[in-house]
Formats: sequence, C-alpha cells, structure tokens
Amino acid sequence: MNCTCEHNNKAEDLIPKVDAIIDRIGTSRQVIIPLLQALQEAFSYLPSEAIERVYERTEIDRAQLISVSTFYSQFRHIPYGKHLIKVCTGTACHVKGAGNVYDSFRRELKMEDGSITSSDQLFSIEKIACLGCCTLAPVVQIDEKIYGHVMPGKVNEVIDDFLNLQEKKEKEENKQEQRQVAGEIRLGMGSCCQASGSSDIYKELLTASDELGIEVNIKPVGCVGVCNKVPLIDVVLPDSSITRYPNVKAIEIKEILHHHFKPAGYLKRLKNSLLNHIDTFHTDITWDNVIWKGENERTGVIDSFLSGQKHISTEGYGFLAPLNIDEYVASGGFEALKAIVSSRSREEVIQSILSSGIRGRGGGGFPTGKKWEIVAASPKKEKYVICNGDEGDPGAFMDRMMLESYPFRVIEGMIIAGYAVGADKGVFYIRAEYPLAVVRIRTALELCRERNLIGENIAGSGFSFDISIFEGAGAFVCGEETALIASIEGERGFPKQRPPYPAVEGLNGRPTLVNNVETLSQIPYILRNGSDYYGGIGTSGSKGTKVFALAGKIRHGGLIEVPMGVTLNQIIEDIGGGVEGGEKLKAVQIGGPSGGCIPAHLCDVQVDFDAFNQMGAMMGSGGLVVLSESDCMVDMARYFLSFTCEQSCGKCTFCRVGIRRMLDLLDKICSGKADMADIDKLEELALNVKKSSLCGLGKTAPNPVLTTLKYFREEYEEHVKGVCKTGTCKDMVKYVVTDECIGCTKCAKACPVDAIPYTPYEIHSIEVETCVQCGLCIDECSFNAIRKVALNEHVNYKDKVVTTA
Amino acid sequence: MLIYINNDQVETKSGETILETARRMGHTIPSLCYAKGAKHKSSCMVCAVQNAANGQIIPSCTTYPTEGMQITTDSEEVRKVRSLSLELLLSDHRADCEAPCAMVCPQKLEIEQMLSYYDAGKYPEAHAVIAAAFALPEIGCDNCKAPCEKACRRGTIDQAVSIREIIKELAGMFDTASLAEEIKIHNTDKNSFQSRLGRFTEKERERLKETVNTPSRCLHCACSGRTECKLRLYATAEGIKRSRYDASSTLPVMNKMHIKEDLWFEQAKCIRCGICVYNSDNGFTFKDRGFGMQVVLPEENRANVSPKLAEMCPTGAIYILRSAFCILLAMILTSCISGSGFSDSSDDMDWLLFRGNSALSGYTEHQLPKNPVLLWSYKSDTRTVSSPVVKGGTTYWCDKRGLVRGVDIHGELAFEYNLATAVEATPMIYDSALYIGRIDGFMTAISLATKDTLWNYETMGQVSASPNIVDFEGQKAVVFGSYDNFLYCVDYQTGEEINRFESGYYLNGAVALWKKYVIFGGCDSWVRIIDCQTGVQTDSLLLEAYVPASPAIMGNYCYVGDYSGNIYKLMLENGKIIRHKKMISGDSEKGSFVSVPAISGEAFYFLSGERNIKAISRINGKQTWEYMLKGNVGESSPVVCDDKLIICTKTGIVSILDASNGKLEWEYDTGEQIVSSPAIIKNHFMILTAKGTLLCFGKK
Repeated sequence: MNCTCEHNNKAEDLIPKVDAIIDRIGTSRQVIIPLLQALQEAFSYLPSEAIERVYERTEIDRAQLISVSTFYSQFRHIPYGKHLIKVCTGTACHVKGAGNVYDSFRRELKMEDGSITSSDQLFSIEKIACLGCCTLAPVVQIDEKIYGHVMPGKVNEVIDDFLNLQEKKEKEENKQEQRQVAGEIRLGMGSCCQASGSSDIYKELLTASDELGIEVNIKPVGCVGVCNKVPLIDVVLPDSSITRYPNVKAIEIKEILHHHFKPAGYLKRLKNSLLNHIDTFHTDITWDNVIWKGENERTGVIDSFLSGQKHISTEGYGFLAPLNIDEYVASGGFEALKAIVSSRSREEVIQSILSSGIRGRGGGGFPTGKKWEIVAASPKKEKYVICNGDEGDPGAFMDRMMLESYPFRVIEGMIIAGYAVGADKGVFYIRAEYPLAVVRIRTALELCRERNLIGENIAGSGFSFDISIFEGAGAFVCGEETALIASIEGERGFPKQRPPYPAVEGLNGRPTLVNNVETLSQIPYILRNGSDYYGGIGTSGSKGTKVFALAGKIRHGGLIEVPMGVTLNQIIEDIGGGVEGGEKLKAVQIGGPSGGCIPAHLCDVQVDFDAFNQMGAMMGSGGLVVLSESDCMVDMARYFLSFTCEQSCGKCTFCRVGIRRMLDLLDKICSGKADMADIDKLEELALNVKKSSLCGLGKTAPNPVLTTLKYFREEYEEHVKGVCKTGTCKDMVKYVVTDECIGCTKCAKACPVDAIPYTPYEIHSIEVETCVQCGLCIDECSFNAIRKVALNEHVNYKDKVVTTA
Repeated sequence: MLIYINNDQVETKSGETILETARRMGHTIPSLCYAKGAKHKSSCMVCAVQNAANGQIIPSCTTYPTEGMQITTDSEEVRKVRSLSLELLLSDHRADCEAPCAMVCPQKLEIEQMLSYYDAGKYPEAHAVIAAAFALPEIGCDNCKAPCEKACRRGTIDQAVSIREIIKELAGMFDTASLAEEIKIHNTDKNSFQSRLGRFTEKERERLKETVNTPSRCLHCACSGRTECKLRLYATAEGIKRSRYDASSTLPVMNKMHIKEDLWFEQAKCIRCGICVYNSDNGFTFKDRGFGMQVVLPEENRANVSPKLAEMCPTGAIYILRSAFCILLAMILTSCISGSGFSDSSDDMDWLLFRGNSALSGYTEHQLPKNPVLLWSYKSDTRTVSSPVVKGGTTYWCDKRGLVRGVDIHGELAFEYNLATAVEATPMIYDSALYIGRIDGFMTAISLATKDTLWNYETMGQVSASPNIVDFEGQKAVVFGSYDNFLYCVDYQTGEEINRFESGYYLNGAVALWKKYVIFGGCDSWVRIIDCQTGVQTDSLLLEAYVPASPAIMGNYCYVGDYSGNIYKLMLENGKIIRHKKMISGDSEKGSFVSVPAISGEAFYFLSGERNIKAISRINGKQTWEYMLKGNVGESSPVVCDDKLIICTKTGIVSILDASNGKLEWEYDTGEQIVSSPAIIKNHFMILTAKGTLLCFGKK
C-alpha cells in the first residue's frame, strides 16, 4: 500500500474528451504527432486509457504508437507533478554550471534517485536541450516562467518566487494605444527579453503610465538582439529622438517616464514630482540612478555591440512590431513578393537566387539556388516548400528569434520560394520548445490570409500557395531534412538514404524544397535589392550575412547578424566586448554539436562556410560559444557527445553504438582511468563514425572530438595523467580549504550535503567522499579560501598553499 | 547504366541495389540487416562498400547505382569499417554463443543439450546425449574435477547447476542408450567467434534468481540461433576475437519471451536492425531512441508475428526453438514493457483500508461519477462505527457485534464471517486477507477465500483503529495500536510479533505510514514516529492538546490536528520531523478536531467548527474557501477525488463539492447518522451509515 498514486480512472470524462480530439484532428496514421500533442495538452501526459481509445478509433496501431511516442522526447507516459521545471543544458548553460543547478533543484525538492517528481507531486524536473536564452545562462523554466542566471545557491529562492507568483496570478491589464499620445516606448518582447523580466516591465509600464497619467504608446517589439542588456526600452519622443535604457528594472520605470513625459493634468504633475522625489530618496535600489548616468555610459556598450553588424534577416530590428503587418509593408515588406508574382517568371527568380550566391544556412551550406532549380525542374505536380525551424542545437536560437520577431519576412521568403519552384503548399516545421514562435507565425499567417498574401490567387496573380504549421515533438535529428519529412508523415524521425533527395522525392513522395528559416528570411532582401548588391556582401564563397547566437564566456552576448567575411576576433572583441571577466580566450565553439572548437590562435579566420569546414568545424546553424581558459576542452567534447548520443535516432550502428562507445572512452578519460592508447582508440572511432554514418547527425557528431583532439590534444594527455587543469572534470578534482580560512562557517552553512563540518574559528575541512562539488562554498567564501585541486595532489596548507592554475 | 565494381564494368538493372548487383556478379559482400525480398533500411553498415570516385563509404544494401560509380567491395578501408561495425554491434550484444559448461568439458559432453532434455522431462534423450560422449555413462564423470560446474553461469547467481549429480541420476535410470541414434548431437563449436555474456549485475542476478526455475536450474546460456547467426559468421570471418570496446547494453540480458508456438524472442541478442519491424504488421516495433533504442514486441501484438521473421533475423534474437528443445516454458520471462514495483491497491475496484491508502491522505485519483444516483442499498440493521473497505468491488465492514459482511457490487451479500465479539475498528484488506482489530484486544486475520481465521494476535487493550501495512526489506508487517499503550508490528502471514513500541498513552487512531515509519498521535498530545523495522521511536513532537484523529500524509508532509482545533504541518525526512508549522490556530470554542484531513496536491481540507469544511492552500497556508454543510459534522472525514471533494455530515447528508472553489455540486440525504468515511472505487462510491445501511452510488 505504499503506492496509491498513478493508477487512476478518469475513463468517464476521458473518453468523450479523447473522441473530441480525434474528431478534430483526424484518424489517419499521418496525424499521429499532432494527435498525441493534443492529447498531451489535454491530459498533461498520455494516459493509457486515451491511448487504448486511439487504437480503437483510428488507423494508428500499437506498433506505430509505441514507436513514435517513445521517439520524441515531448511525449510523456507517466503523469508529472503539478509544475514542470525545465533546466536548460544548452552549451552556454553547460559551461556556466547547469549540471550543478539541476542537482540543486533535485536536492532542494528532495527528489529520490530515479524519480523526477518530488514526493508531494508538486514539481517534476527535466533537462532540456536548449531553451534558447543562452545569454542568460544558466536558465531554468518553471511552467511558463523563465528564470535567468540561476545559481545553485539561489534555487530555493527561485522556487519560492515561483510559488509566490502562483499565488498572485495577477490579472493581465490591457492598455493599448488608444489615446492621444505624447510619445512611444518600445520594449523588446522576445523570449530572452521575457526571461529577463520584460513582461514585468511591460506591466509596470502600463500601471505606471496609468498612475502618472501619462499617455504614451507602449509598443512591444521583437527581439532587439542585445540580449545581455535586456530588458531594454527605447523612449521615442514626438521629435523622433530616441533615448535608450538598457537593463531596466521595474522600479526605475516611473522615473524614466517622469523624466520624459508630462502628465496630463497640472495637479497630477505636482503630485508626481513630489512622490517621485520621495521615492528616489527612500528606496535604496534607485541610488544607482539610471537617469543620472551619462548618455555614453548608458548606451556606449550597445553602440559598439551594434557597430559592425549588418541587418538583413533582422532588418528593422528594435522598431518593427512582430505582428504589425502594416509596419512591415511600410518598411518594404512584401514588395519583392508582389513584384515577382506579377511580373517575373519563375526562371528569373531562380536565376537571381543562383547569381546572388546564397548558400543554405541550415548547416551544410548547399547553394540555395541549386536546390530550387532541382525542385523546379521536376515535372511532378503538387510540390511542397518546408521551412525548417527545428532548431535543436544547444546554444543556438537564431531561428526562434526570427520566427518570433520577423514572422512576415520568413513567410514572404517562403511564398517566393513556393512561386519559384512551382509549389502550392508550404509547411512551417517549428520545434515544440518554441511556443511563442508558433503563436506568432500562426497569427502572422492569419493576417497574410486576410490580405490575400497566401491562399488562392495571391495578389491577383493567379498563383496559389497555402501554408500550414507542423509542430515538432522534440528530436534534434529532425533538423535533418529526410528525418523532418518522416516526422511530418507520422513516423519516427529516421533519416532516409539519399538519393533520392527530397528535392526529387520528399514529403508524400512529392518534390519538396526544405529551406532553413534564416535562408528564407534572406530571400526578400535579395530580390528587393538585386542579386548583385547581395553578392557584394561577404566573401567569394559565402555571400550575405550570417546570424549568430553569441554566448558563453563573453562580456556582451546576444544575437548578432554580421556580413560574411568578418573574423571571429572581430566578433568577439568589437561586438562582444571581449571575454567575460577579463579571462583569456581559449577557443570558440561554433556550430554546436555538429561543429568544432576553433582555438584562439586561429580566430582571425573569416566567417565563411569553406574556411570553417577546413578547420574541422562548420557553420552549423550558428551557435557561437566563447570558451575561456577556465573551460575544459575534453569536457566540452564529452558534453556535445552526450547530447548527440541521446539525440541519435538509433537506426545505424556507427551513430547508435559508435557515439556511445566514444562517450564511454571520454568518460574514462575524464575520470582519469584511461591510458594513452584510449586517445588513439577514440580518434580511430571518431574518424570512422564520421566516415561511415549515413546522415548529417552521425557524420558531424565526431567533430567536437576531432577538433579538440586536433587543437588541444595535450589536454587529453593531461587528463590521462590525472590532471584537469580547469577543475571541470569532477572525478579528478577535490575541494580543499586553504589556511586563508578564518573559520567564519559560511561555507559549512551553505553546503547542501553537510560535507563541511561546522567548526567555528577553526580552519574548515571538506570531506571529499561527501562533497558533490556544487561550488556553493566557493561562491560563499569571502576569503577565497576554498580551491579545487587535483585529486592526487597533496595539500598541506600548514606549510605551504598549493595553488592550481 | 554502366558502373564499375572492383574495376569490372557492370551493367546495372533497374531496381537493383549495389549489393544485389555485386552479388549477381559474384562479388561477396556480407550483410546483416538485408534479406532478399524483405523490406529493410540500412542499419548495420556491415555491407559497406566504397565509391572510389568520391571516396565515400556507402551501405550497398540500400544505395542504388548512379552514373560514374566505381565500387570497391574489399579494400583496406572497407574492411576496417566492416570489422569496426561488427565490433560495435558485439559490444552491445550480451549473450553467450556456446554454453560455458560445454566449452570446458574435457569429454565434449553437450551438457546444455542434455539439460534441455532433462528439464523437459525427456530422460531417455538426456541419457542418450550422455551416452554419445561416454562409453560408460555410469562412471563417466567420476574422476573429473567438474570444470563445467565452475564455469556454470548459474554459479554466479546463487549456486551452480549440479551437473554431475544429474548425470549420475540419469545414468542410474537406464541401462543402455537406446535413443542414441535418434538424437542429433549439437556439437559445440569452439573455433568460431564466441560472444561472452560477461558478468551479471546485481540487479540481473536478482531477476534471474527469481525468474529462472527450470528443474535443473540451468539458465540455458547457449544461443538457440548460434548455427545460423550471421553476426557470428562474419565476426569469425573477420577474425574478431572479442570486441575492443567495453560491453554495455541497456537490454535485459537472458530475457526470453515466448511469442507463440515455438517462436521465441530474446532482446539482448538484438542488433536493432529492425528487419522484424519493417516486415511485420503491428508486431515488433521500435521503442526509445539513441543508444537506448530497443526492438520490442508488445504482449498484445504477439499473435501478429510470423515465423518467417526468425529466418530474417540476422542473430539469434528471434528464433524457433526446435521441438526437441521446446521445454523452456517453465522459464517464460515477462517482457520488460511494464515494470512497476510493489503496489497492491492499484486496482480500480479496491479501497483497501481506512482512508483508502497507507498515508491516510484521503486522496484518490478516481473521479466521482457525474450526477451519481443511488444504485442500491443494503440494510444490515446492525449498528457499526466501522468505515467500509472494498476489494474487487465487494464492500466489507464489521458491525458492532462482530459480524463481518461483504456485499458485492450488485448489492448482494457475498461474504459473512462472525467474530462473535464487539468490534469498532475499520478492517484492512491485504493480499486477500482481512485484518481487523477487536474490542477484546485481538487483531485477527481472516482469509477472504476460505473464511478461515489465519491468525489471532492478542494485545492487552482494545484495538479500535484500522491497521496499516508496512514493507521493509522484503518483510511485510501489519502495524496497529492498542489501548494497552503499545504499537505492534506483526508478520502479515503468520501473526508473529516482529517488534513493539510502548508509547505513553493508549493508541486510539489509525497510524499513518510514511516509508517504513508510522506516525500517530496520542491522547498524551504527542505525535510520534516509529521505525517499524526496529520498533524504535525516531522522533516526536508535543502538540498543544491531545490528538484524537489520525495524521494524514502527502509526500514528505504530514498534517495532523489536535483536539483544540490546531492543525500542524510536519515535514518528514529519514524518520525525523525536520520542520513543523502550525497551519491553523484552533478557536477554543469551536475546537475539537476529530476527523482526518484530506490532502491533495494543492490543498488540504478539514472540518472546522460544527458544520464547516475549509480548504487551505498547501503552498501558502491561506484559506481558499469555506463551505457550510447542511448538518453538523462528526468523525466522518472528507475524501478528495481528483478535483472533487466528498463529505458526509453526522446527520447523514452526503455532499460533493468542487475541490477548487467549494461549490456544492451534488448532495443526498441518507436520513441516517454517518460516522464512517466514504469509500471510492471506479465509477462508484460507498457510504455506510451508523445504522448499518450500505449505500452504493454510481452512474445511472
């Protein structure tokens, strides 16, 4: 009788609910993923009764359901707790200690080994590949609320805050621009911005402007790119002058408003100025007063961050409201589309794309025009265009930002592609972890339909093209185009042997053009400005711009768009402001799990498809994670491999078993139990996995290992000898207290596992067996008296303090 | 189209893959996951060839020739890829090709084959196998040091199979080996590649110990598919001795699943090529992804599997157990799809003890029927203070005079047993026995099947509360309190005392269970936590007034009320109360907390004052709603059923409220006093009145 949970019977109302969902979505085998998604949304997991009902009423059988529902990580077969904690373990979060954050949550919520739900059923926890908020690393999402910069010691505060928030559930106020206005305030509302609190700022703007009687347009705009400075607001006065405030806090809003705008009534004005004064003097938080800061101090960083960038995909950043179609049209949107459908032939369009030299942004860098040409050349009727928004790389969030912030641009690019190749249907494939992107695209499609920009007879041209949305269900491999198509068809995301290429035989056996979000978003620009102009940007082999998610140990991370041909050093130094905390640059990890690490001395390489490939890295989808001297390259390789190991579809031997065995070897190396021969064994295996895998995932998965072996082999050798200089590999280091300790007991109190005995006024000690190396004590210590040292190092702090590098 | 294979120009045929073209031309290419005419997708990469035109390694079984191809089927590089792929597959293939016992036998006795016959009860055949190895079976093993028994895998689990004893036994049965000619001896192949199972993990040992119970205790390690296994064939051909990679597999080792007839499936030998998946209709399927991807056969799909799959399977994962060997039925092992641990109250038609679960939380995930109606009532006309418990739809309770009744789901009396002594306690059902405390101080166990008394355990005071059941280290015990101040913990099958604990005062309420600890309050105002395994108190807490009702537990939190109306929340960890907080301060006038609170994930619900029920948020301790009932409340405690709350007043009114806002949704006046708590099962709930009338509510 220990367990009475789980087994429930809700069959009563469950069946009608399931039936309603089946009626809405359909009964064919192909709809399995949307069907399971709808069921999970209704019941928060897939109850077995519901599944039985699916067998009864649809063509879906047991074999297909097990196969599909266990392939995609979105689907759950057991009920979760009331709230779900998602700990991001993307690259940026990983290097900033996401593993420790995850462990802390488990400890704090007293989860037992093997269980992912707290015993009071309140919280469940899971690791997630990437939430796409890399600049706020480590990031944690609880239900809809995102918390940035979560430190292991702050976990209890996060939980408390969340529970308090549940209590309030403030009612949403909706004050839109309906009155006579004195100016405009623009506020970035991308996912990152929201994670760092811009929804609170938005609410505060509404209440404060109401309270102060200031009538002003409050306009949520798309991603502003400067993710490390958000929440960021731009105050636009009637004379169009813009004042920019980075890192705004809710408490500062009143002051900012007051500074720029006069309230409507005289009395209110007087009252406000009085109150504002009182507020300013009585709250500590406003001491560091935003208004008093000089213009340059406020925005200097941002200016340098933006210099050197070139906005094509992100054109109109910071002022374009994501869902304002008029604004998009006013800034030249849909011009290219209308011109093309009315006056240019398909061949002409393809010729323009070909001569612009644009290459696919999804990773491989295949010339986009070529792909279009192949699809267009097929005599078959019924062709598809798929926009690949299954951005699964940990450390990349460009596609999400573009879908969220510039939905119309991507749609326009897609319609143009559809026209050029002669397709009549388009599908947005957007990964499930991007709910905001799905909502924005859906709304944007509605708006386009109203204007006859999609649907029958577009803009009176006789060309018809319709677009639907397919939500991915959580599988990295579905970024591979054949796997993506398999998943739309209701199968596991197994890639198919090519040829035949999807361009010849794709979705439902029809010619299918699969283009990445970023690729499509560059199309309108090319056609509006001409392929020659576009071809003038970039290097000889790589044209146009590339959007990167700049994160990791960088001072000013964020989303950047740079012309091809700038060097990595320029990106790091000029745009990113250098390595965080004044550390030395060690390497740049580019292209996520498919890419590689480029060492610091080679960072004068230009951003260019071929140049990256030559170095063993690849453009990938554009994650750019900066690594400093305190990052362990072996651990980095292991991190990416554990990701691909989990994400491998499992079909082929080399990828399924080979990557696992590589990971075993890396585990062995990271725990100091390996010998030198293991490094060679690892290299041999890596080369063969690369050579013998069938799809992009397996072919590129060894890259992180191969590049680190190439450029940082000595680090592997050190590990074999039992030394991890950075102290990252937990099995090789221990924590010790040096004689700088004054016996303040702060660390003893902070230790979550009681590994530090409480010995006031004596030098503390750490029990190595108990210590979980969460790092809390190091953060807590004011005297820098706790160090990580190699496990075999003998530290006798009485005689001499042994320091580590 | 013309392509080159090993420098020979070859005319391709439409629809033919490189593999088929090459084989047609007489080139040998090994392959595992390809079978002629069968659907397949490239997986194993053993059929790798190289296109010298661009240097690419390609799977020949799924690639179609394209213009300009120059295929090499046998270069250094190709061989490397092949042998590596075999090594990788073997590192994830935990199985023995040959049985270790037969491998080491100096007399080349086919021990495993002999034991197969022995286990099937085919003793003449078993004897014939021995006779084939020894001229004089009766003295065959006398001088041998029995390396077979040392090699026996069973020995690493518990004890090796007594091979020599069995041989002696068989030798004693027969004089001559009459069947020797009819038996095909399966010769152990020592020269081919040998896959080795390796060491069992602790878990595997436990599992195999429990599940493999053949007469000889032999695990039958030898692979039934070893002669046809392509994996072994190619590994031998490539000269692989053993995989250079440390073996680890996520698949359950030696898990033999009977498909149907003589068709069997053993997952740990599967190389996940999926040929069985692609060639069966709603039969085999994939599960999970990445390294953990498995090929599984759901129980329900077993009938859909064709024996042809055994031929297609490149390894011994799917195999036909030849009739002579078809003896392994005794060791059918369950497939690994389900896998829940100990849980006994999971049945939909059960409500096995007071408050429905060991934690006494009064929470169930069963939903109450919508707009329930009275389906039937059963009048016993004997007063009772017991709450009803339900097993398999039959409701049991005991009246004050000691008559235990069982009324089935249709309202018919199905069980009767007379204890012939006064009873006040609610019974508990566990493992088809009913446990009940008596006023004369006994705890009695009655078999529901035979209506026999299984055991009686005597205490020195009345037992007025429901027992609970605790499970520690494989031991299950009934735990209960008595008015003689002791908490008892007795073996659930024999009634033998395991230990006892003396508290300061008599024990009135039911004890709540948290892991292996029980928690109870007493009339001395103490809340105590006792470790049932040791009988030692691990923590205690003094409350402000005496504690008449049982605590209720959800997760690591225990809620307990005292007689002055205070309610406390205790946080438990390792048998200790690590924090406690007074959630509600009692109002001295309205005091008295005699019922047990009900707890859900969000809130706890308790009766307050004379006729109110309140909901308090577990998160912030604030009251979310309060509802005034139509009559005074008493001992009957509320139960939360998913999102509804059911509660009976002392005056006999049954109410169903929305648990989130306290809105009344349904009510029913029984017209009789109620002191018992409701019992909730699938689609029904049971109310027992103090006059002994059982009412069953359900859907129309």
